[in-house]
Amino acid sequence: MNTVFKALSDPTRRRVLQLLRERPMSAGELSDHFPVSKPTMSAHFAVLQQAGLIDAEKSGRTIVYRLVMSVLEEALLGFAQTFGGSPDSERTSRVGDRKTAKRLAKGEA
Amino acid sequence: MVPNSRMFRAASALTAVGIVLVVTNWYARPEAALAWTAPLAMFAVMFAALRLSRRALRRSTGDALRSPDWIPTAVVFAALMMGIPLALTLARSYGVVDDIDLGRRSTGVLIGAFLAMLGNVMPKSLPPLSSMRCDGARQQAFQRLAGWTWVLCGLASAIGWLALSIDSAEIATTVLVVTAMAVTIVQLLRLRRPRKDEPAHGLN
Repeated sequence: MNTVFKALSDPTRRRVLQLLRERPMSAGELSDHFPVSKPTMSAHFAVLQQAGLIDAEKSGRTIVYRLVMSVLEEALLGFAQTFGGSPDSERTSRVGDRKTAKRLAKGEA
Repeated sequence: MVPNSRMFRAASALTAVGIVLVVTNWYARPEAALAWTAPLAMFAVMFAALRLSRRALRRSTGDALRSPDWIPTAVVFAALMMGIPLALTLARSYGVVDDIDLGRRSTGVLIGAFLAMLGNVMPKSLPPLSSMRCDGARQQAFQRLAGWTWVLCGLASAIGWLALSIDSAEIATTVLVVTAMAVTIVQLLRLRRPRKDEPAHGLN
């Protein structure tokens, strides 16, 4: 249970779980939602996998992640989202937009 | 594969306590000898199932779907479901407890807790994506919904057995379980129906 609390304490990991609620996603698809490096995302995936909240399956050259949360763990996620500070989804998307804008500006120059 | 020894120990201990309770009840009320043979036989079957599953788990290669590691948990709940009414019957025959409905109430609460526990682990038992014959997202959504449905049904049923009168609790539990079953069956049928925008056996 300790590993579950540790996994749920981070807003990025909570956001990953939120995204996986919709459907199973590849590592690349998930990483596209965050303005962090791929190794950092891999570390987050490892923590979630260790806590038994997500499951990884190799499909060709990609790794597909999916949610394997019990009802209690899902309720804990909801609780952590409500009381554990707002997930920085808006901030991360803003940072992502800024990075994309910079890249485009460099390409045009 | 190493069996979960704590659960096995708990299951064995509860089965042994159950056998002792049946024998003591038999001793207290020998005129109902036939009534005591049934629970005694059931405890013996549980004990045999435990021994067999322990042996099978030691030989298992780790295939989670085939290994019988759920048997000790099931035996713990079954032993509690039978053991608590047996203990209360014994207490009543010695004049320690007066309440006739206490046994039924406690069994109802335990069944509710068991349903909630089953629902809790339902979203965790997904088959591998490569072996799925339908969309992984829909299967996941179905198991999550089914899990929540059974957890809420189990909790509501347990609270009903604690708070309502026996007659009302029986009706409420029946309505809850039938509703939960209907929700699960409807969702299962929807899962089997292919979506308009995907091939019949399309994996995501």
